[in-house]
Amino acid sequence: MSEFESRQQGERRVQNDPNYSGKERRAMADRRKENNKQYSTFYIADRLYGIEVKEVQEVTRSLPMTQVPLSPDYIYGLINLRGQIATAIGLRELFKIEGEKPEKQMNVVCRLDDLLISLSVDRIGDVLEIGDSFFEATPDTLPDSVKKFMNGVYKTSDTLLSVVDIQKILEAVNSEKEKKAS
Amino acid sequence: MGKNNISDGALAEFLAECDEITQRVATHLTTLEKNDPNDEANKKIIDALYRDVHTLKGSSQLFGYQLIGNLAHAMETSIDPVRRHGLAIPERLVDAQLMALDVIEKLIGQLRDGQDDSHFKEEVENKLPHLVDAATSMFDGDYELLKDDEGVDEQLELTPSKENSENISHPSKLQSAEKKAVDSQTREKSSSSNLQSSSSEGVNEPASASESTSTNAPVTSKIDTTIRVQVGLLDKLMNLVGELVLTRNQLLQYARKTESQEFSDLSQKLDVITSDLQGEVMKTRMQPIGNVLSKFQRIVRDVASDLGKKINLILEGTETELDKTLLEAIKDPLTHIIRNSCDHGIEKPEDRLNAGKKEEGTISIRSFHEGGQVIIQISDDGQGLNKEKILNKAIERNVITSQDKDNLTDKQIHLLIFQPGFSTAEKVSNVSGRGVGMDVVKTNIEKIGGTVDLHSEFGKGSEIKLKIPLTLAIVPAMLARCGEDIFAIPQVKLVELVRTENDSEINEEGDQVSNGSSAVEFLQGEPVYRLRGDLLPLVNFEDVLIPKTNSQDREESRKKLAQEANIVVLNNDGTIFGLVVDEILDRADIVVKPLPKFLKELKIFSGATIMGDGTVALILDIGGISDIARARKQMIEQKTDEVFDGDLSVNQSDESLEIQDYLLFKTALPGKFAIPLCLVHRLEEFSKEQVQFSGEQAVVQYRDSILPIISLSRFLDQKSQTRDAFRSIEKFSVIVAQKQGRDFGILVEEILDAVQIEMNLNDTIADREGILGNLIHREEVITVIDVLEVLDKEIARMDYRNQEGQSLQTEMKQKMNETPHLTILLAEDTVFFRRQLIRVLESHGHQVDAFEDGEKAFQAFEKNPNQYQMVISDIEMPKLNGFELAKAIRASKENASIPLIAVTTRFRDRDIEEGKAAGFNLYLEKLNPEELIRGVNELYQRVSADKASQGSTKRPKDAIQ
Repeated sequence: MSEFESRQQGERRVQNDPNYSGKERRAMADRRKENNKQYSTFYIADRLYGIEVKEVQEVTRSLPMTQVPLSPDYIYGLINLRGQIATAIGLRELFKIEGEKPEKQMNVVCRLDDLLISLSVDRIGDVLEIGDSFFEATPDTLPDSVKKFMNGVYKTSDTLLSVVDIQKILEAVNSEKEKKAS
Repeated sequence: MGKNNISDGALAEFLAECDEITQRVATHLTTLEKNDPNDEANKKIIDALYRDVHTLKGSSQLFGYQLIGNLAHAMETSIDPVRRHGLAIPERLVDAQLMALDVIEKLIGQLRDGQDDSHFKEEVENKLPHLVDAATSMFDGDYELLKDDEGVDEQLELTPSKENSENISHPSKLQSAEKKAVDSQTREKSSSSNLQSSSSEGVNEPASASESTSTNAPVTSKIDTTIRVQVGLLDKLMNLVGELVLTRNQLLQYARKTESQEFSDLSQKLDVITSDLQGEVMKTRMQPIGNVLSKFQRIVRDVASDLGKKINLILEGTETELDKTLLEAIKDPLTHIIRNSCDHGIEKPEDRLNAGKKEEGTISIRSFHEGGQVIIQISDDGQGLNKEKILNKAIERNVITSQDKDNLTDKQIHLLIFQPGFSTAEKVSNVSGRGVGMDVVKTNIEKIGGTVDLHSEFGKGSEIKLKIPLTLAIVPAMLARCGEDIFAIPQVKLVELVRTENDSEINEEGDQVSNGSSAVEFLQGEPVYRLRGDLLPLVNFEDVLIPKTNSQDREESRKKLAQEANIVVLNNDGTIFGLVVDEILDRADIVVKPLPKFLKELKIFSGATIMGDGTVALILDIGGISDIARARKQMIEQKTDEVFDGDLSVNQSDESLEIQDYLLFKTALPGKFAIPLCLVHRLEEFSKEQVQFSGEQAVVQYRDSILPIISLSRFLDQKSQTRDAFRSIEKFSVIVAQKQGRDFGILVEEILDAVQIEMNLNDTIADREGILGNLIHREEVITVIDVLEVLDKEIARMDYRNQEGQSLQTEMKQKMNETPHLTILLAEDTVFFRRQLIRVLESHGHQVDAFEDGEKAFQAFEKNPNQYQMVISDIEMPKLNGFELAKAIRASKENASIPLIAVTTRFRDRDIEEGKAAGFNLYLEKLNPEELIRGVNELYQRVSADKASQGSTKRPKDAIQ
């Protein structure tokens, strides 16, 4: 990531140089934020996914759950998260990934407006910080069942990280219900 | 004016509000002064300033403090041009405003001391207009503009002649007014000191606290006793306390397990403190309802004088406390209701006198606690609702159709006024009757979890009853268990709880309907309960949660329901229905948490809550469930109608119907019986003399053979003796049935009729051998006899005594050896037909794999297509019907030759054609075992003899004969 590091250094210079106006400094900081994102990563069936860190509230172990009758299979149920109620969505079912899921899944809890969504995943990975240059749009060949939830893909040195868009998940879940209702 | 009627609490509230406003106004004014005149933020500040002054004007006028009102009006008017035209505010105007504000503050101080402000009146009224005039005149032409915009009337009141506007000495005049105010205040001070002594008494009560603040230091002392806090902060506090309570509960559970005395003591302490804290935090949000109600005195008075009516408003229970947010939420709906009562309810004085009533109408608002809710009753002694008028209007406005008109009860007609777009006022007045109102009332009240009810008697008056939950955050609920899960049912909708137990044994006929009213009954398969004589439609919550597609499961749940049921009787907008749950647990106050949209759309749950043990429980959406109940009730009503027409047809969407001809007859046992007509060979009548006995077995010579006579009543009820049966009757009827080519006579008392019944056989209650199940025909339960089983048993019994029987058995065995033993795949959804077919086929040495629908059968077939030598399928089946199953099997070439037999009760040519097209080789009648076995054997032999040819489809009609 040498290219990235040198740019970072350049930016740091700008930050400290009094010759640069506040506006320029701010712009630089913005660009940095834009180009370099942090992702909270997790695995489902050994596939690596990531959600931007700012979207994630916390990560928890599997918690007791109350099932919601008549809801689709990907809705695992409701979780009591210290007095707040989070809806647990099984990404495995939502993404239609087949195979055995581990006995205890982990929860990636995201806050969307007033809503707490807990994504049940197989395993939690590291937080990765990746630059924009590693980004690529989602290839068309991916099955739509997963593609519709993805924002794109990052090519890290050893693996590929699929970026999951929590907003898209919520939209899909909402529209699916409407479809069913109509 | 009105101030004499104002309650202390309301006055304190008003004064606190004034303090707050004056403080804000002062801040706004000084900020404006400091700011750059062109700063963009000014506009917002001026808007806020205007709003505050406007509020001050409104509330002080409402309370009858005209002086403050006039001053505030003057201030408002003088800011208006600045606000409207985005002008910079001149310094002098700010000065003038501040001075006016000072006077207002002093007036408020006076009020707080309980002093009369009337001696200010002259000075204020004389001087203030000049101030306003001066302020407005600073903008030259703008003043005119203002006049045009605002309406002349309002302006004239306060703005004097134009000459005065040249006068620029207003500030000093105002100052003198102020000075006098101060003077008079000091003069009064000594006399007001006695009030201070009472201040210690109500320190805890914010309402009375501000009232009793000292005159000397009004600003500091009022801060000491009341603080205004954001409701959002209180909400957060409430949430935290909720969590604390949960943690406390968990801790207490743990404390019970530990030995440590110290730990138990500490947790006890924590328990008490937490409970106190919870109570106090909840109290912070509570306010007396009088705060809202007292303003209606004024409204009623004004409205009454506008309309030329005399109305007296009586308030009761103003001290009833309600959550602040709820109080705000009911303000508007209440105003609507009160205005409506004044306008439409109370008649004009002359009309009242003509009707023999007092000239003065009365509206009373009564509020009180009841069952964890606040009830607000608004009643008037006016003319009541006019049904005809409402109906006509409703039809005119397309709220209902003219056909609906006759079907509506009085109550339903009354409730029409809550429909959107409904207004009965003959002419639209400015008081009410704009076509919005009552529907808004209803939606607003329901939004906060309340209900609206209306009772009216024409000519006597109306009463509207609002049920409001105490707080929004905490709802009393009933907890119920269904399966493994706990659900919360909001108490607002709860009417009563009923537990039923079926103590009466199932009677002889196997009649499923219990005669007593103590148990759940079934009306055309739908559960109902007689609640004090009325049929209460029931919704089995288990069925809602896990819809049962399979008739066997459905039967089981019905059986369970008939045995015992816990019924939660609910009322949703007048729809009363019972929700059957597994167990009713406990009452609990629950904290409502919202559900995400996609879960709300299930229409069964309205929210969730966290239980004492930390688990999440779902709150039921009674409205949604009621829709299900209503749909069911409609179905029941429809069916009832059909039953009365004598034509019974059950319309169960996902279950296919069997049409079957039955022979109805009576036996010595009570009730009616039936056997499938296809099993009846002949009907005969014998006289007493013809009967002979072979041992205990009655026989009759019949067509050169011996016909054993089987007494059905004896078979079903071992006590009755065969011989006795023949002794008493001269002539008796016998149904001749065939089994394995032999005739058997079934003794019955009377043959009634042969009927076609289109209904699935209910085999819930087949409590003994020989009974297949029950049917309902013309509202009578009919027991269907399993003839084949009866014959089997009788043959086995006769084996010991009857040589004929012995030979029959041998004959049968021989026959069995001749026939091939096949592995047959059977698809049949109806349990009893399935059982029947299995029995028939197995008794002929075939091995049968049976499945309850086409899909399952096909899956089994696909897994191992070579295992089966034949497929027998019903036509009407869920998921994959017989035609589809046949097509699916025939789709593969390898299966082109496998024999397919359709067994059905439907024999329409169209069906037969379709069956042929789908690939069935043979079309047979259900419940005709002889035919079936012959068909199976013949078809199998033909197919195996000529495997290459698959065009061996026999004309179905030939097969049936």
